[in-house]
Amino acid sequence: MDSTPGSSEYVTLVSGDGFEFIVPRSTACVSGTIRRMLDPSSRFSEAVTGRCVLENMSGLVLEKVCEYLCYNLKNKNQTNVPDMEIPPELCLELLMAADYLDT
Amino acid sequence: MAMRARQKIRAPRKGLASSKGDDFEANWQALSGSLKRIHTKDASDLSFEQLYRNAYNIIVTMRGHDLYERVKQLEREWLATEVRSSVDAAISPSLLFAQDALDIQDQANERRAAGERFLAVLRETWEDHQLSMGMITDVLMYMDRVVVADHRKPSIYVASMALFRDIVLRSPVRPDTKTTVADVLESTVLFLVQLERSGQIIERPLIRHCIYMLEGLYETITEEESSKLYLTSFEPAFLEASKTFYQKEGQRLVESADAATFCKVAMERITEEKERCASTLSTLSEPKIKEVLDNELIKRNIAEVVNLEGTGVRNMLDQDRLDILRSVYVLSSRVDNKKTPLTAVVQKCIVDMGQEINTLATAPAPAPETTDKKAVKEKEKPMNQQTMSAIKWVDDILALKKKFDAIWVDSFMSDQVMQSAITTSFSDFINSNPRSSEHLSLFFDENLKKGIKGKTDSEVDSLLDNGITLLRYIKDKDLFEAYYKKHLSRRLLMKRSASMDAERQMISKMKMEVGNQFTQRLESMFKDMTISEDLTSSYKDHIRKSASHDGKPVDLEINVLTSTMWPMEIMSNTRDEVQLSCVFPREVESVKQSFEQFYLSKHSGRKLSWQASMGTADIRATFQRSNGKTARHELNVSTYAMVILLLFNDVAPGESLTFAEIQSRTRIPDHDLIRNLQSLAVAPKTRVLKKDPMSREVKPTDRFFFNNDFQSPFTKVRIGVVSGSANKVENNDQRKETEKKMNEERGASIEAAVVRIMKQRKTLVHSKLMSEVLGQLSSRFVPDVNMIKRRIESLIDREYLERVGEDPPTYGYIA
Amino acid sequence: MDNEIPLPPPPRIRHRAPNTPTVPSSLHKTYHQLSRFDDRSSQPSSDPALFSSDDIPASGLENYHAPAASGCRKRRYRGTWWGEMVKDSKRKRVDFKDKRLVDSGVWMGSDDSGVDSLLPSEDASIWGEELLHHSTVGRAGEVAPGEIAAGAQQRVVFRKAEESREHQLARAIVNDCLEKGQDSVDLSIGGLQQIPQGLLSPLQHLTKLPTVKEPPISEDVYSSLRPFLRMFLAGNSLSDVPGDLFDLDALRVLSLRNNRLTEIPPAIRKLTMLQEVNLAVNELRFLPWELLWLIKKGDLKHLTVRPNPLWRIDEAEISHWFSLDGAPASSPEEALTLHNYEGPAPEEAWAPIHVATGPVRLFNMEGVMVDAPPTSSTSQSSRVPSLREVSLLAFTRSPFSDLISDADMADCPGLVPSLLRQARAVRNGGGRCCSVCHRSFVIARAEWIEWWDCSVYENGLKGPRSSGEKLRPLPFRRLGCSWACVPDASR
Repeated sequence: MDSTPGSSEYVTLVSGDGFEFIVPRSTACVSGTIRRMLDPSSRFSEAVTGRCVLENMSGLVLEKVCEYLCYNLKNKNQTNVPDMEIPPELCLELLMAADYLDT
Repeated sequence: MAMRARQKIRAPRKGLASSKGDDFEANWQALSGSLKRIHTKDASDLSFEQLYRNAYNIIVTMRGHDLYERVKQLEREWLATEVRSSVDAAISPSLLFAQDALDIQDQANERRAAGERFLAVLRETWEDHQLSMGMITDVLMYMDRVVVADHRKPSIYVASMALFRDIVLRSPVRPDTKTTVADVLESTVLFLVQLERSGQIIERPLIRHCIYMLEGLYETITEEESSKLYLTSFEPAFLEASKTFYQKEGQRLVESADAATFCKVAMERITEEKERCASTLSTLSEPKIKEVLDNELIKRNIAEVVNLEGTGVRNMLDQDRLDILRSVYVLSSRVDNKKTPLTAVVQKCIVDMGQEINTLATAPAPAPETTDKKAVKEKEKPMNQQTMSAIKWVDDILALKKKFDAIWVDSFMSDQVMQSAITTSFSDFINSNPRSSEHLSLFFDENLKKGIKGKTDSEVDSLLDNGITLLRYIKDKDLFEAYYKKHLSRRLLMKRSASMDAERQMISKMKMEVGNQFTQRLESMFKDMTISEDLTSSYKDHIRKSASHDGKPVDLEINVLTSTMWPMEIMSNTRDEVQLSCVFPREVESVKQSFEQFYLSKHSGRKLSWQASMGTADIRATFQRSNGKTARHELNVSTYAMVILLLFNDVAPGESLTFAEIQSRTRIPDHDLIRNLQSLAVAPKTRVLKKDPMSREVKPTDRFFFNNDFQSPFTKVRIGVVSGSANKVENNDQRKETEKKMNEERGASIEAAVVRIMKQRKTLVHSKLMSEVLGQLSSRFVPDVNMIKRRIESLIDREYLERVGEDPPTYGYIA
Repeated sequence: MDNEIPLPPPPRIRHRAPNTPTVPSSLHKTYHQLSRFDDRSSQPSSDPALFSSDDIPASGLENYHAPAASGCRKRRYRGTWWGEMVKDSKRKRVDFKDKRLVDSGVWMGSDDSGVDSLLPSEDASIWGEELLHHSTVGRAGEVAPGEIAAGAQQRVVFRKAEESREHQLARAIVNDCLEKGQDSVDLSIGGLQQIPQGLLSPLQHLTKLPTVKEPPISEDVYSSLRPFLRMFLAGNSLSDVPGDLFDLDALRVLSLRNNRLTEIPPAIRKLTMLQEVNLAVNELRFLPWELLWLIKKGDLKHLTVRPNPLWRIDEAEISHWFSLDGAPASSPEEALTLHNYEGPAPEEAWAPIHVATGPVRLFNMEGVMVDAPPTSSTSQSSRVPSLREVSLLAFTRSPFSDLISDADMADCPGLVPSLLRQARAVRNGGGRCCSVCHRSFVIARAEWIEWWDCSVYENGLKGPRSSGEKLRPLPFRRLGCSWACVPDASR
């Protein structure tokens, strides 16, 4: 993993149960927590490796989170933002993920 | 069923919030070790996520507050031990005990080196702290969000900055002194600034970074802008030091240097301080140090500098040192909107220069005036000189105006205040010359007659504009109008104008400048001229058609003038006595009657009054030489001269006429007769008549002969009438005359204004009436208050007005 | 709903006790039906399935609902049923319950007030828990919304008898109206401190009865059966407006005069037929901007808001003054004065006039006020809702959101519980929607006051403003769903 440069274009988000999601860095940085995590000036291991393990998040939730991150970035400058549908049964877990990831 | 199952909200898994209950200590152990490693710049194998999760877990188990305190404690220890010791080590004794040792070179150098070393260490310490705290804050982000929001605490970053302030900057350097690191920092920076002011090069970025530190730290945890350490501690000291410095510098400059040097140094200091704020200290201080400069260096000294003997503004104006003037202006305008000292000097200077011009223009005049009774010769020559000097006066003023216009644009940045000051001064000295109106009108006259010949339109334009500029300054515009009218009428009747276009241009310029009312009469003069031209030609047609004439027709060119529009009184030179009209010779009389008939047939009810004094005539004269030859000349003479010469048609050769005879046969007024005879018999080149005795002055007993020996190289000879024909400066009598007329006219204007106002208002308080009258008339002249009062009295006597109240005095209008 | 937060509901403590099964399921069921019945007390009791709330996708009933518009059908049924029941509806209901309920003791207490509030607290908590377990049962579909969130439980418990009398009375009035087709619902001076859940909802389906007694002679004697619905809640002690009031989309006249309201929910915008609103004598400091919207885009013609302790413009912080044409005004005096006109009143003398805009307050994703948007952050001024927002919105829209108890919420980490509480309050108030982009939202990210002069509407469109009149603007609060949804600088 050390081979991945800290400033590469893509980063890997890993769920607690081992699912990996490879997303563009800019997408990941929509999350305040991940943005700080990857901040090159701080030189934390995540910033060095470009791999963030989110221990306390299931793959199911992290998938939805990634979907949201993409949705957010895609519609960033839109004036008419379409709604993002999320399954109601996940809403609490997502809420807590949002709290954790500051997004 | 399946659908419903999907819709049910899944309760959050407990796993998200750590299930382990009381592992605060374990989490903290992991966390604190990592935080220390962050401080020692050894974070590359730390996982942000792990730290974040540690903190998160602590917080969701409601121990956020403890975490906050633990972190603070950790920071406190770190700062007090590691950081303090490295900073203290960088403080050398020379920094602690050195006072203002600027004069001793070695000490200064040593202190400087030590100071820069110290600043470098402090800077590094600060930047490390900032970076580490940034990382720690990121890791503890969740703590900030929860604990800080709940307990109203400063964020951990702010708290740690406050710790840095207290532990690193605010504690004594040595146990035995009260001097703190902040004190050392302050004195060191001030010392370096002092060095730079005295011309040495210092390491600006280093200071800038330390200032950044002071700007990044606050007195309070709420971090208001105003509580920056820079503003609370460093800046006052800096300003105080600067104040002392510039007080001294100002004193030194004024004592030892000239105004130019002062301005140069001051301007340099201004840019220098501005640059210092931008590059070395903080832009926050820029307005404040500017104020110090303005107050201490400029405001204190500017008046003195402006008035410095020999090098002050006076000198600059004399020497046209526009660049330094500009500096003076810039400096003045910084501290004083009105620029009082500068305007005062400039105004005084203008008035002085203007008075000089006035004196120059009037200097030759007193000579003939005091010796009025002297010879005509003496009187005539200076007249011309006076005209010259009048024109010179105008030219001089225009030159002066140009000079100050240039100064105003270049040096005074087209400042409004300065402009009005300059204008006032010009107006003052121009109006202090009682002849200004006349001079100006003469200037126009001269230029419209000769001056504009061979000039392009734009040159003419600017010439006239210059004149108009002066007209703006003149207060008694009615006086100018009178003179202008007089001069204009001569130009028109004598056909002396070089260009009618220029005349009209002039009128329209005046109209723009002074207003319609002012030029109305002038314009109607032009109208009369045009109508007369038509009249002449239609009269000629009329003669040709009637064709019943006998012998040679007399060519008549006539100008019918509306008497109210033209300055009759000036032209006809009538004094108070009744004027008997001149007796024209038969030929002329018949033409005159024929024209009168023609004219009255067109405009019945009008009365024509012939102004012979203004006319000219072309006559063909035959001179019988003694050798039997005959010489013919065409003489262009005034109407009166024509009348006189025609008398000699009936006089046998060798016979003569006395002055009295001529007078009784022509009824030409004495004054005109004398002048005409002078030009016919005395003027050396135009002696058509011989005079006995041959003297300059004409006496009633003098005899006049036709001069058959008249010689001239030209066939056409123009015989001008001495004086009166050209526009010249008036002599004293004439001026008194003009003034008298002017006063009468003004009286009439005032009455008209008073009646106009009262008619509208019915009743009015005295003071109100006065101010309205002054307001109405100010565009034409500045009325004398006493004159207005007299006119009001007169109107009351004549029952136009009545007094309706005494306290305050009030007038009523009688319809 | 704010008053709910300082009063932790009793069930929380016991909730974690894992002894839920001790309660017999019959009790649970009973309660259940009861609650549904209670909500729709004025409706026929014989066929509960028919009248279950629409938003519950009860699979068993879907076929039933599908063919016809449910509203029509319901109305028809109800109409006939009332004819029979008009004499003694209350007793009828009791009979009906007796028929179905084994445990009448539970029933007695809950007769007219919010069901949960009358239950012993233990039962309530258990019920909540039970519901989680049993929600797959068909009955779960009929859970009335908001039982958990209904306010002031303890108070209600204390004044059980007294309260119920007032609610009873109110319910009787509502029923009476429904039965007689009376479209003027007068609940004023009823001593109501709150409107029980479901009291007003049936009025959605109110139909006027034909008034023609004799055979028609001409067309004129026919009148529309569409109700001209009027609601008078004046002179009560209401501290908030119930969300289901805003579902009465036929409401024309609404009086909330003389209550204790501190805020009018933005959901009032849903009442697009409103013609007259009286909010006087409350504790309002500002009005919802949506009220202005109703004036401008809707049918609202008469707005009575004074007296109220409204913010005063001369004391408020103002960031922009506007002149009549929308350009920035040079002075407050200019903005506060109608220009002089001559002759007939111009259009603007009638219209609401935007006088000023106050400073915009921004909130972060958790609804905490922030001073200024940090410039460094990437998506700060985008209109994309935060993931929190997306989740909360899904939460409010989910019919199951009430299954999460306070205790459950409290168990969530960090800042989540307060967000959930806010979401619930918003839902109970009828929902919010962004006044700039019209997106539904939960957490407002921007808030500002717009000052509009509506004096023409305050006097019921009696006449235009006079020339040069001094304007008396009202504060309208606008909410924005993102940091991009803030007032346009140009207006």
